[in-house]
Amino acid sequence: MKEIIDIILTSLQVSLSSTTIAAIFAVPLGLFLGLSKSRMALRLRPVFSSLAGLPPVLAGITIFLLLSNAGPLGSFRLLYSKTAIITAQVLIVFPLIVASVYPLVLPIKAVFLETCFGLNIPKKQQIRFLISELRYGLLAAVLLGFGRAMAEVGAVMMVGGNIRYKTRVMTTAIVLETNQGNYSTALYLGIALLLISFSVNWLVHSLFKEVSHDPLY
Amino acid sequence: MKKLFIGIIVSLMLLSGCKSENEQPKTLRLTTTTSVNDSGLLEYLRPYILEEANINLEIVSLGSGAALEAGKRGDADVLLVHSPAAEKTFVDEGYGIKRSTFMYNFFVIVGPSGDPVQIKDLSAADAFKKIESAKSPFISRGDKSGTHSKEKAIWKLAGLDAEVVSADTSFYVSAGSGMGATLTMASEKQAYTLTDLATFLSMKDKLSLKVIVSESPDLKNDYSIIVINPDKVANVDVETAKAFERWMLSEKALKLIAEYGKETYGETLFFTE
Repeated sequence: MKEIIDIILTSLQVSLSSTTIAAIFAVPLGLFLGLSKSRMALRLRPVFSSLAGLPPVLAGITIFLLLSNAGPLGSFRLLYSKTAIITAQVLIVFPLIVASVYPLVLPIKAVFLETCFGLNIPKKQQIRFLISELRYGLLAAVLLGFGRAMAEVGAVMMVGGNIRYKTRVMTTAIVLETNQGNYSTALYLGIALLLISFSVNWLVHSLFKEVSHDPLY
Repeated sequence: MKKLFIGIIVSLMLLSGCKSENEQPKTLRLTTTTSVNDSGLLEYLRPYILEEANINLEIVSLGSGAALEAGKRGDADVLLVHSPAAEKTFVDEGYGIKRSTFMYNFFVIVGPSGDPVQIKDLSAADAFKKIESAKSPFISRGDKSGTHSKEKAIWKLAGLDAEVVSADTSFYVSAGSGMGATLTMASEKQAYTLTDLATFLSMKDKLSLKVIVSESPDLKNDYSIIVINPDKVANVDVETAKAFERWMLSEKALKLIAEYGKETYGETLFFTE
């Protein structure tokens, strides 16, 4: 039982870390890509949309080759560590969040910029208004990323190595149990994974409601 | 409430950091084959290794081919594998200091309880010949593991070309996965497969398969420890690896290994010399 709790905590720890790191950079980039009219932004949008569908194993093998002892970052000895898992998950989640954020901006952009211009609102405050306007969409984008991180198997197996007491997370534990024929344990772990995703989502939504005092929500 | 939430995230992030500080034993990156790992042997030895050699094992389980590759890349300090031919090349090329073969057991051919092509009491090579000519379903690991290379060696003994056989999809299924998954597939498809006894026994209750051929001399399975050579591969912990090897070859360890499995399965899973 203690081991299962450890596995669950490891899952939460790596996924929350990777989602947080990815979101810190992906949300601003997504907003920028949505607002900007520059040619680069226009070109980058489809790039991120397709990267959102990047096969996770590709992220896995990339991080594996980078972190492996024979790879360029080998001397840091990060392969088969939680850091390796987090890195791979960031790579998977980052484009997903960017690709979910920029489309939020597009439909309201014209009206938003016009209003800001009309009311003569300074740039800094514009950003704050924009975030407030898009809060539900942003929340959903980040939660989508978190769900994706929690659910990842292949890449996590490659770079984490499924080491007991260290890098074994819920999904890789499920694979292991299935391979060993312990289907009921695998299923219980799967249900636990689902319940945890539910509770994290629920927790975030209710906190959000409390913080925002929003009658619409 | 917001602070609490941030607190939860931060404390979860820090959790692992706190834990690892308490561990003074040397950490050793051991890469082993799926068959050893699935048998539970290392988990059984782990507390002894921790107490007597002060080594905390970090076990990654891969097929022997991938395990040797991990050794070459320096992603492991020590290997515990069973793929003699590939191991010899590995050591000859200078990646490993030496091979210490310290335990063995027997592969077995398992299949549907009715033994549809009647291979019981045959040698492994003859059994393979019969399976091939009857085109009776056969599941292969197909993952360059030690078991897979043993299988290829048996096809050769049977006078058949493993390449040609494996291309015959009318009966040959290359699973590309570990022993457990391959056994499950064999059970689902009611097919023959080659397996190590330890993994099979540990899963027997969940499989509708029986041991058909065992203890044929061509089924012997040697396990070796290989310490990675620090002169050839950078960043490996050779001291701890050697300490692990010394402990595994000690009389006490060999005795513990020879006793493993008797209680749970009523059979010895690994023999020592």
